[in-house]
Amino acid sequence: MENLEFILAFFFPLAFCFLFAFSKNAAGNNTKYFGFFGIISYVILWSWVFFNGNYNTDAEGLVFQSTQFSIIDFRFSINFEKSFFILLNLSLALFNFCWFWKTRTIHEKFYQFIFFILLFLSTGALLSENIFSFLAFGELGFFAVVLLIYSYGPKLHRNDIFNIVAFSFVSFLCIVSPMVFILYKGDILLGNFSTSPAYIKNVLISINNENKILGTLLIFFMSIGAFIKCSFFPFHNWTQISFLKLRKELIFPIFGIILLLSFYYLSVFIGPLVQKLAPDLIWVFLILFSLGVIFNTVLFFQEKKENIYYYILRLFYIHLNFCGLGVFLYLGNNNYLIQSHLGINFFTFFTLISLISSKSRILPLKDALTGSQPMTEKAKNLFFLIFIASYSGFPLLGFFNNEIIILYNLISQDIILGTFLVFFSILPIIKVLGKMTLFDINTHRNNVLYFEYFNLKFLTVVILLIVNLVFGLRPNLFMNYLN
Amino acid sequence: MIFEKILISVLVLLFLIHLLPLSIEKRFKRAYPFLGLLSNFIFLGYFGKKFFSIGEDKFEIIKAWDYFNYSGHQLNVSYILDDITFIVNFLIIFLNFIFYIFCILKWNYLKDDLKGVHFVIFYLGTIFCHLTATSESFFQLLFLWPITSLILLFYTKKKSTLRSEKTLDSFYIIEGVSFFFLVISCIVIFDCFNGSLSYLSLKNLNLTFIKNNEINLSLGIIGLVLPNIFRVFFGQQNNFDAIEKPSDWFKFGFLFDIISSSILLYIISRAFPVLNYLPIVLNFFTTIGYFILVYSLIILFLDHTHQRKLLWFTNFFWGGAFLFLGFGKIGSAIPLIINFLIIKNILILMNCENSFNKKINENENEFFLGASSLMVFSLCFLPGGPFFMIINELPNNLLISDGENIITYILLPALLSILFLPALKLTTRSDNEGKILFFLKSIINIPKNLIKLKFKGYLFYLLIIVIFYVYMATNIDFKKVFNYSKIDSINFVGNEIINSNKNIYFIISFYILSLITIFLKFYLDKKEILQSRKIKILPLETRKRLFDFLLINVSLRQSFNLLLKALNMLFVKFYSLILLRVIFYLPFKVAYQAGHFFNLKKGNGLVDSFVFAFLGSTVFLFYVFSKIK
Repeated sequence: MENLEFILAFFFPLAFCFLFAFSKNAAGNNTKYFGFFGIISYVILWSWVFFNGNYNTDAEGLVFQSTQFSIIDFRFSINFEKSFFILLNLSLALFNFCWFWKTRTIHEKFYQFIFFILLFLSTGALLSENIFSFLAFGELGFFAVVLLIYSYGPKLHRNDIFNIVAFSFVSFLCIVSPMVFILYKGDILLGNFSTSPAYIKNVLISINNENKILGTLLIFFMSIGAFIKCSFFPFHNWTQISFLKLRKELIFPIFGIILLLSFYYLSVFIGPLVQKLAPDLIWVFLILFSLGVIFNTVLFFQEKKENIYYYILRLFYIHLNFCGLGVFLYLGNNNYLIQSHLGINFFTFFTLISLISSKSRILPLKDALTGSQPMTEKAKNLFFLIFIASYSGFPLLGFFNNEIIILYNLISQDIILGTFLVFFSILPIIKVLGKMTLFDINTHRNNVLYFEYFNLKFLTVVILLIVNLVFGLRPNLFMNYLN
Repeated sequence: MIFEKILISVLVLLFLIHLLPLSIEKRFKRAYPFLGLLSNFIFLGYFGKKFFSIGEDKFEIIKAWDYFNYSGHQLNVSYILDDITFIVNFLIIFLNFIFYIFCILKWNYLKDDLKGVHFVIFYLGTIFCHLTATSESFFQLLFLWPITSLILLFYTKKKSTLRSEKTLDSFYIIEGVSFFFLVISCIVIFDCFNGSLSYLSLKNLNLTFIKNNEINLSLGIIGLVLPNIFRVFFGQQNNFDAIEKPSDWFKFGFLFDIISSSILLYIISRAFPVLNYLPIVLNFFTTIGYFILVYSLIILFLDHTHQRKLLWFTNFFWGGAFLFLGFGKIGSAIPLIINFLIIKNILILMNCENSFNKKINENENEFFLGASSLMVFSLCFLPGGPFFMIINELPNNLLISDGENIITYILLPALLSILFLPALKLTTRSDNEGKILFFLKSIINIPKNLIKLKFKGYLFYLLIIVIFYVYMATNIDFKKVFNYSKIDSINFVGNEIINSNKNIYFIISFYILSLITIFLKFYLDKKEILQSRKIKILPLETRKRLFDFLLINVSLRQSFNLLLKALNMLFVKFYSLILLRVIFYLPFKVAYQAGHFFNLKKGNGLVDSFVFAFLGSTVFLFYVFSKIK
């Protein structure tokens, strides 16, 4: 029982979610306090694990291993990279309460039930040592998300659900089909089954020796599966639909959990495979992600709709594609920067969407500062403008330094591609500055930002502001900490 | 460092005091120019103290902030105090000084036109400009760029123009393109100097390093200079419609010059140790110089608004300065720009005052005409003026670099002599006695008018003119500051001995052509030939159209938007039509039809599709993988 704290922490959300399922009157019909208590407990348990366990040395926490076929292999361990993802997952889940504290669904038992199930499944997936257990947890998690969409997605048409499921299905197919082939080949070559990265690498090396194109093609399909899951260009349609048509609090399970898992899959399983076995593909992917950034910046610049939702979505995709670029640029020690970029992207994204309503517009700087509103209104408008400026890549704020490092590395490898990307990366700044300084007289109306001091959202705003300032003004501090 | 900390605290305090009248009462507005003047004196005191205290070498680095230090890459926020810093900062202080003094003395005119927020912007702009013009590294400029963009926007734009998306588009596209060049330049230089962006890296380079990194260095320096050139020229083009009231003239000088021109001056000065060893950069400057000369000439004659001619007219001096840079004569280019900026700003003040005083007596009008004519002509050809410097030095450089006699002795003098036409137009007005005579009379009558008028009102201008001529008389030798002794190697431009006798032909040619031009103009005006011909050849509408077409900021915005629109349309069509419909949805549609064909349970098409798509795709993929052997 030496790993008691790990087992407790791991199974806690699973046990906790059933309290919502079976209790008739959980915390007086308002489950959000109960849920908040649950997530706080969960965070405390994991903190206990991190402070007690020697997780830097790949200590095995929990292993369920079948005897006959090691394909059914649930092996979990914690290392530094994983702990980053887990911490991000936990903090995103915790902040979900802060962001959407006042929304309707967060009061409901079913939402809380699925939320804790998702938390359990996502932690399981993030701890997975092999692709099989990752997929098992990940796909079950996706199923739970679909259940949420069905229950709380009144605006969603049949076609939209089809879209979301179809993309996930194709991604699943792209991952599983090559995997089946690899296992089939592996059985012939090595005489056993496994989905651990080492096994897959060995089999792929053998396949590569026989036929390089086949090996590259297998890795390519597995990567495409990951790209669809990560919602990279051009496979981002499914998240676009869910973002535009679902309620805010439902966006969190898709963007906060599913995309995080997908990024984990990409950086832990696919990234090293591509680097070692199919280096030719790196250029294809770099071009694809650069195209993704260009596509989204152009659409962002040309966006005629005044709805801020569109702006935030495009900016999110731009940063997501930047993260993709970062993963395949293999920045060595700076790789943690990409993860931090991913983390701050999620945080800014959710904070921004929690601050706005569908009628919100970008308020001009002049009105935000000198308008006739009370001081609190001015403060929140100013916060919003700071975050949107940071999100568009304004210097001395959170996103600028990381992007510059990615662009610098890209230019070092290919000056033309890098230069193109720098040019297009400037477009969001131009657009946002233009919107901020346009004295449109109609913008006085419809500037409803949902923000109160007694709301927990205040906490996220303050934390994000600090993160932005640290990233923008003291990048050194962060870099030294990571190393 | 304690001294600097006190300085910063005082400046922040002054800024906070700036905000007080904004929120309390408008009658405190009068305090603004005094506050600004106080900050100006603080800077003057600081730089003055440093100038006299840091020894003969005049070099000190103040490290303020260790921004980024990781695996050999270093980015520090530091400030340099040396000759270059002092020159540029004293220019900024001088321009600030005349602005604030003018505001204090002429408050009765200005109080209704200038708002409190203008002074806050002016103050902030000056502080940021001082920070940039003392900065030690490129990336300080990069970080301050968007902030100075916003300051420039709010300083130069009016409410009505800020409500026009097109105007803002033009502004931001140029600023964005500039920022792009800066980022690229910083990345290239960062790579070139192995993780440093310090201006000091450009000093003490050996020739082998310069030779090996010639392209990188050239690209870096061009990328650094180009954004500032954009600001200087497109900045004017973006606000020339803004002249409605007299104080609008300030938008073309003072803070605009401080932010655009002085930063450009600073960067060029910082890059000077390697400039002469990079032929690409020299060619770039020469091309820009020729382009500006020709472009300004065309646009000057096409512009239909009399007032704006001054703006295009002043561009010629920039053209001359870039030509000097192209010929590797930074020691001539820097004083030329400084002289020009000072005269231009004094002219703007005069213009502003003259516009306020439209209803005053004839003597005052004549005084202004005389004084401003004197300034315009000191720009053009009077000894000591910037133009005189071009006449003196440019032919030598042209002869060395090109050796093309036609350009040197005919084309360039002809081009420069044509400048007398706008100069005459700017300085004369209709009079029965004849325009040119009236202009001469106004200059001759300056002392007479001065005695007749109230001395107090014109003390300011006299003071400025005296300061300017004292400055010219002391003849600060910039060439000493910009010496090249640190890199002891070949000059790519050529080391031929300058034959100074040859420029006498240029001067003769210039004066002959100028006289011909002036008398021809006088003659044609007298006979009213030019007026009637002009109407026939170039009607006003055509001139306007041509003028609009040639405005680079408009054409740049249009082409930029067109490109992005085309890209947008291509992307959207490609994405929704080809990628989504054909590649992605088609297999599902086929699967759905297959489900119907096999008469599966109706009304459950979604599940049918997935089942069939899954089966079909798995079989297909497995077949593909097994075939590739």
